[in-house]
Amino acid sequence: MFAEGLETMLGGEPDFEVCGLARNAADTLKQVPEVEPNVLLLDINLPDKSGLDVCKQLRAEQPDVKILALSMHNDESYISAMLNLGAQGYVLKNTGRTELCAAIRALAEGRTYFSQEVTDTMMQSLMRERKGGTAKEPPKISRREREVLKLIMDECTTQEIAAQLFLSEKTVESHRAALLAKLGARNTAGLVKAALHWKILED
Amino acid sequence: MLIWAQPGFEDRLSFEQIQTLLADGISNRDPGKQALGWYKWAIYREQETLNRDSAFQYLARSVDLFLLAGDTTAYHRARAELAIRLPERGMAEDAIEMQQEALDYFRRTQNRRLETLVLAQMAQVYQLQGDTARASALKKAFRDKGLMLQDTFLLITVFLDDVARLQNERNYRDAISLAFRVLELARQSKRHEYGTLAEYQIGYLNKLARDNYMALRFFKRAEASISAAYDPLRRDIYRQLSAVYTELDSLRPALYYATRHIELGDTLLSRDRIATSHRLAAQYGEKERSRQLDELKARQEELELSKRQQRDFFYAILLFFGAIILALFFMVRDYRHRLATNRVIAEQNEKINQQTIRQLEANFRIESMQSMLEGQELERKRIATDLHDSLGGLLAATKIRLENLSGKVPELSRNEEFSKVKDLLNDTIAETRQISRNLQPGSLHQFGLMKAVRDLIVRVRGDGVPTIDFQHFGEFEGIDHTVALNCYRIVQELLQNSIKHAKATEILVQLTRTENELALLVEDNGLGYDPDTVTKGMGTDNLSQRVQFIRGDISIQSAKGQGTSTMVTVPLDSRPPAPGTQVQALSPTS
Repeated sequence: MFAEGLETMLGGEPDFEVCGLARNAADTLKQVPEVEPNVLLLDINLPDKSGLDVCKQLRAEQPDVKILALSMHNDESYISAMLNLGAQGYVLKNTGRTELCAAIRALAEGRTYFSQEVTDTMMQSLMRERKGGTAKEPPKISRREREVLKLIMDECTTQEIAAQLFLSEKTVESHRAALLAKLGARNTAGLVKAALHWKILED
Repeated sequence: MLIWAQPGFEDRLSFEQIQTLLADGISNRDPGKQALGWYKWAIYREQETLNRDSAFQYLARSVDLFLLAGDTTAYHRARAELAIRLPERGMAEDAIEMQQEALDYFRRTQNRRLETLVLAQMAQVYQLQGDTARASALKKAFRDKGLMLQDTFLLITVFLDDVARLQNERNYRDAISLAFRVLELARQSKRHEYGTLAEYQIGYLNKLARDNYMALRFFKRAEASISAAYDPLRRDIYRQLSAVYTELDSLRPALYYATRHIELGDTLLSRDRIATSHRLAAQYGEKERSRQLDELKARQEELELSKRQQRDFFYAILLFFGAIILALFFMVRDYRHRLATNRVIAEQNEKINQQTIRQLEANFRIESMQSMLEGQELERKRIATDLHDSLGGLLAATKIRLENLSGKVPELSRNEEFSKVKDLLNDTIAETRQISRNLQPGSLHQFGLMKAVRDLIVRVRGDGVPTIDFQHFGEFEGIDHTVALNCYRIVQELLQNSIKHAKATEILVQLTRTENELALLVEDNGLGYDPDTVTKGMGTDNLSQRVQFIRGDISIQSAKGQGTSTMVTVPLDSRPPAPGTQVQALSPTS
């Protein structure tokens, strides 16, 4: 029903031609090589297979077709997954006529397009995040970890730390493991070294 | 007479209250409580599902249990109620005989109230048989006696009956004033649940009388006064509110209440299903546990016996060989030594047995919790998929069509009403997406725990206030789905606590995966609380259940004004508890 509505909508645009309409992934994969569209509007949520898989397969087999992802999901994980799989645009299903047409034209001209809400979501996800491993700035240390780290630097044993902070030894061990992971250290010595290097306990 | 003094028998009990009553009765092996529970359950289910067959079976069980409990008054009352469901089974004569017995018993014991109530029940049986003359005579007798006795419950029953009659005759004015009397009576006797019923009734009658403003007022009052969270009446109130708002052309609140109505409908059904599976799991667990307990007890007794026999044997030998004690000194010492060893072994066995009992109890708790949580997730997933796929698809299609329409008819896009409809539709689409996402994190299954948590945080950030830092260390793929889902819910709950309750402005969320452990940390700079005083709250209770379920540990540090730091660690080497066969059959995990 949604696809038919789209067909009517896009059929009204003078510079567009709706050259195919598929209801599921299998149909899409069959039709695309036959009609070779400039732009494919691809729903992520297909009845038989994920749109993600369709995107991946088409990218490999039909590299010239521009893919505009249409989705109900305004989630960063879906957006970046589609981009990584080679989609050139991503718009939400409730996008209006004007914006949708602009998106299709942009893709046809070889540009990329993301609707405003999608861009906002991407912006939000870029902020204040950190992965483990090599980093140029010190990771954020939680209050508890800071206390544990301080006592480790004071040469306290796990038992002593647990007693001082009213924690179980197991919890202290978990904090220690998290500290090792985020400071990229292998043992207590490495932990102390990293703590001094980043001047973690000084502010 | 005692049972009538207990609160409950003549109150409209909520779903939760009935469940508690039943669970209490079953676990304490109290037939009286169980009987009352089944009685209430029968009436409740019948009102909700209109299924008289199952009501009949529950009532029959209730009658048996009342007899077992030796409560003759309750026994006759339940039988009189059961009798109402006999004529449709072709047992009309038995029905009247049963009710007559009850009537005689109440007369003999001079219980005027129940005698009067039975008259009303007999009237129903005659009515069902088509003997209208007798039925109305009995009804009149019931009315007269009820009014004479000035008993609140009887009066409420009489008046509600009259309200229904007047409503059928379309005499709304008198019906409303009578419903007001019920409201008054309910207030005086502090039977609030009847008060809510009366308010709903007044609203409904006003709606029938086409006075939508009054109807709205009373439905609103009923909404404010209803206390049970899950109650068919609550659902009816929402439905009526939605209808009245629609009549009044207030579409926004109408949509709101329609949504609540649909939500609650689903919740009621799923709660039922969960409760049933929970109960079955409990019954099964109970049986299994008592069997194992019996076995352990038998083994302990055997041990005890052999210990006693050994001791007797020892003394006999001691007497018999008294003269040659010296010669046998080493032998005896050796024997003593063996005895001591036996005792140590026996003590150890006992300790192990007790440990096994505790372990069994813990497993049983986890199993029933598992079936509940799994049922909940399954239901959430179903509703989310329904909302997302069918409703979401339809709404998106509607929007496209609307756009097409405005393209074809240009003057429409200048029409104010038309653009309002478009705004409303946009809100509806956004709302639907929000509800579906809260119910089931779609990205969890597709992309794993870390990305799902990141989506969650991005969403919360989009809502505004707090600054949220997110850190993750290690690989999060390949984690068991149940563990991942529960971890996601735990983070969701902790975030919500930090924002809603603690009013935090800065939050740190951290996921750490080491070789055999997953650690979740949520730390905020919010109000904080004294963990000792709040641990029993709803939110934290739910939280600790989830943590226990995935065999994790939770550690909360908080103090007033100093923020909260919560860490949950989950071992990854052991899979979640293997469910018992019965439980598995009830909750498909695929």
